[in-house]
Amino acid sequence: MRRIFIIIFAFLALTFVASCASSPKKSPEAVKEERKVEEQKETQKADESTVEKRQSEVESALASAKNIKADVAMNEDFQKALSVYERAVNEKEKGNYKKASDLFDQARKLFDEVYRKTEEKRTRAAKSIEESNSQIEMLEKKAKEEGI
Amino acid sequence: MERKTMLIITLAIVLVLLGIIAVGESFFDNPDYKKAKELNRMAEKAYEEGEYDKAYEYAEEAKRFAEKADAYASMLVQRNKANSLLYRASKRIEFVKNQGADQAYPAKYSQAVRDYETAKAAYDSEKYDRSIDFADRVINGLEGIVPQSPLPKYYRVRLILKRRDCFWRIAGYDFIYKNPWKWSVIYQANKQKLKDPENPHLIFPGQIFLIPSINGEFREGTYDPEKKYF
Repeated sequence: MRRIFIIIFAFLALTFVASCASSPKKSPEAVKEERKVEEQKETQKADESTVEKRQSEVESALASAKNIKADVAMNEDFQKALSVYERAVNEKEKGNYKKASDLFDQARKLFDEVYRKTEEKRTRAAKSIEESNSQIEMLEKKAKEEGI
Repeated sequence: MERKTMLIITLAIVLVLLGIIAVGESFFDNPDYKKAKELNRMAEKAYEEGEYDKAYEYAEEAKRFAEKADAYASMLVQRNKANSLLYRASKRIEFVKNQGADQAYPAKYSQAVRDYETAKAAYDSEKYDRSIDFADRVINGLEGIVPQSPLPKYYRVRLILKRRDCFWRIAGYDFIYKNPWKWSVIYQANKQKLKDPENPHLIFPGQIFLIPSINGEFREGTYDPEKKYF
């Protein structure tokens, strides 16, 4: 019985010594490199998330502008904003998230501006049409009442 | 044959010209009004398409044309008023002359004739406000001249078996309007007195109807069959 214990103990000791000898120790450079790669992965993930968010924002601004027919009312400015958006999409596809993100942001600002200006024009036109309509209606009423 | 053709062509041209003149008189055919309507439609279409700058320009232009059309409408209203007053003034002068006012009130009568001429000249030169003013002067200036035998202001419906009274016949009497076509003037003025206001045929002997003055003629009292009216 005692012999069996000795054999098991010896076997375990040998196994432990062998495992220690087979595990290589990492150099500090390798650890640094590994950490850098990890950080890059994290940054890329964050950039991806940011670019997705910015793209979603710019697409929402684009839809709002199109909804009030800014593509007709302010075609030139709308096309300018659209081309910035398309450049942003290209950069994103290439994986240049930082650049894409900046371009999306720029495109959103342009679409917002186009929307604001179009809305001003739309309101001004609607007001003028309403005034013209009511002027004509009053004229017709007057003509009917006076029998002219 | 040739003469006949010429006659037909001439007649057609005259009719077309008359049509154009008649159409031109209506406000709804006024070119400025039509243009305003058209521009307004264009503005609405441009707006629908998102052409807001164009829509604004069209609407602003429509407003300018509507203003012009409004000036035309005001002119037509004034012209109609001047025309109607001028007619009343001429009838009033004619009426008081028949009553001998030119002899009894020569100063008033002459002044009225002068005012009438001024009103007429103003009308012809399209100065309708002035025309209205002077026609009013004629009517007001002769207001005080009461005829010796004034026409009746009221008429009591009589029971005439052979020729029953009706609005048509009443309007046709010499002392009423001498014109049966004016029956609706009496009907409208007395509508509410009728048993059935919507039925002008249902009138009864003894009913008393107001006879409105239509040409500025003086009217007083109720018609008396024994009295003579001029």
